[in-house]
Amino acid sequence: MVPIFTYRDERKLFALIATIIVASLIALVQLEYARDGKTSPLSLAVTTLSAYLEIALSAVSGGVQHAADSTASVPSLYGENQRLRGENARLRTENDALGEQLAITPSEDARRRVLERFANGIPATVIGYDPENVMRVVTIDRGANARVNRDDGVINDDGVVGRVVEVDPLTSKVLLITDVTSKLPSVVQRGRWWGIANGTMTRVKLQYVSQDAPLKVGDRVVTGEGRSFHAGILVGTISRIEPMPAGGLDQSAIIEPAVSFGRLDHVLVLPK
Amino acid sequence: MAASTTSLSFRSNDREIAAASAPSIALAVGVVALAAILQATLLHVAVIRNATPSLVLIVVVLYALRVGAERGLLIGALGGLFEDALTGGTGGSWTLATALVAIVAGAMSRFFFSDAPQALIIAVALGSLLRSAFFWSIMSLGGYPSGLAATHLHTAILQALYTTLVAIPIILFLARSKERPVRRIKLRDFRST
Repeated sequence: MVPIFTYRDERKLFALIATIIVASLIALVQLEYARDGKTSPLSLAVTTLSAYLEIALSAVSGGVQHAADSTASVPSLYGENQRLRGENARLRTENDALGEQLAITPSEDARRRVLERFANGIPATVIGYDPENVMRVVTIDRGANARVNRDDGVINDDGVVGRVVEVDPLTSKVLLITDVTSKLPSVVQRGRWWGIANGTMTRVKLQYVSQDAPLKVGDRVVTGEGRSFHAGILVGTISRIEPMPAGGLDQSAIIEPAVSFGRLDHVLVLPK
Repeated sequence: MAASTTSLSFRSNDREIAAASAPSIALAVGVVALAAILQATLLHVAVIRNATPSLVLIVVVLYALRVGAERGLLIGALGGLFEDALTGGTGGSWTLATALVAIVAGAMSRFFFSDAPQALIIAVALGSLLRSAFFWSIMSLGGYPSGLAATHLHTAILQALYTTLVAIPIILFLARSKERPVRRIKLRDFRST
C-alpha cells in the first residue's frame, strides 16, 4: 500500500505553508505601509537594488547601442563634419568682417565730426611715410589738383598733425609737428601764454613761454593764429615742465601730442 | 674646374665674370624702386627706436659690389632719388649719399672680388653707417639743425644693425640660389674657344 503523503510531500507541504505565511506577512507589512502612505523597507530595498541594476544595464545597453549607431553613422558624420566646418569658416569670415567694420566705424565717425567742424577742409588719406624714417613726413593722397597748397595746416579728429611742405599734382608731403624742423606758434589754453612748439622727433617741446606763466602738467596747448592754422586747434597736453635755467627769461615744457602719429589714417587739409 | 662659390679672389677674371653674370640694370632699377616703395608704405610698421631697415641700401651695396662703380653709381643715384622723392624735405641728400656709397662699394670691387656671405654682410653694415654719415653731413651743409647729432648717431648705428640683420637672410638666399660654377664653366669654355 502506497501512503498518501510521503516524508518528501510533507516537506513540500510545510514549505508551501511557510511560503504562504511569509507571503501573507509580507503582504500585511506592505499593506500596512501602503495604508500609511509610506514605502516599505522591502520595497525600498527592491527598488534600490533594481535601480542600480537598471542603471548598469542601461549603461551597458546604451553604450553598445551608441557604438553601433556611431559605427553605422560614420559616413553621415563625415558629411555633417564637412558641413559644420564650412559653416564655421563662414561664421569666422562674418566675424572678421564685423570686427573690421567695428574697427573702422570710430575712424569714420571721427572723420565725419572733423568734416562738420571744418567744412572747407579737404579730406585726405595718408598713403606713405619717410622710407628711412629720418624726417617726420607723411605723404597724403591729395595734391595741387585738389587745391592743396604749401603751408596748409593738416589736422585729424584728435588735433594738429602738421603742415604741407611739398605739393605735387596728386600728392602732398606733410611735415609732422614732431619733426625737428617744425615750428608752430602755440598757446597754453588755460592762461593764454604764448610759445613755440618745436618737434623733438618723438614729442613736441613748447619753448619761449614767459617765465611768469604758472604752467601745470595737463595744461592743454592749442594753436595760435598763424600761417598754417587758425587759433584753437589742440596740439597736445603738457606732460613735463622743464626746470628753468638760472637767469633764464623763458621756460619750456614737453607736450604729449594729441595725435597718435603711429596710427595716422584719415586727415583733413585746412586751406587758409 | 669650377671655383668655390664662397671665395675671396683678387683675380680680375673673376671680377669680370661676376659683373657679366650680374642682373641687368633694368632689373636692378626695378628692384631698387620696389625696395623704396616697400620702405615708404609697409616698413614704417617695423620701426624700432626710430630706426628702420634700408632695403634700398642693401640692393645698392650688393649690386655695386658685383658690377663695379659705374653701374653701381647709376643704381645708387636712382635708389637715393626714389627715397628723396618719397621723403620730401631732404632735397637730394639721399641721392648724393647713396650714390657715394655705391661708388665706394663699386671701387672696392675693383681690388677684390668676394661672394662670401660674411664679406657681403660686413659691406652692408659699413655701407649703412657710411651712408648715414654722408646723409647727415649733406643735411648739415644744407642748414638742417645739428643739435640732435647724438640722437642721429645712435639711430644710424641702430639702423646699420637692423639693416644688416635684414640683409643676412637675403644674402644667404642669394648665395644658395645662384649658379655661378655653371656660368663660370660656360664662360671659360667660351673664352678658350
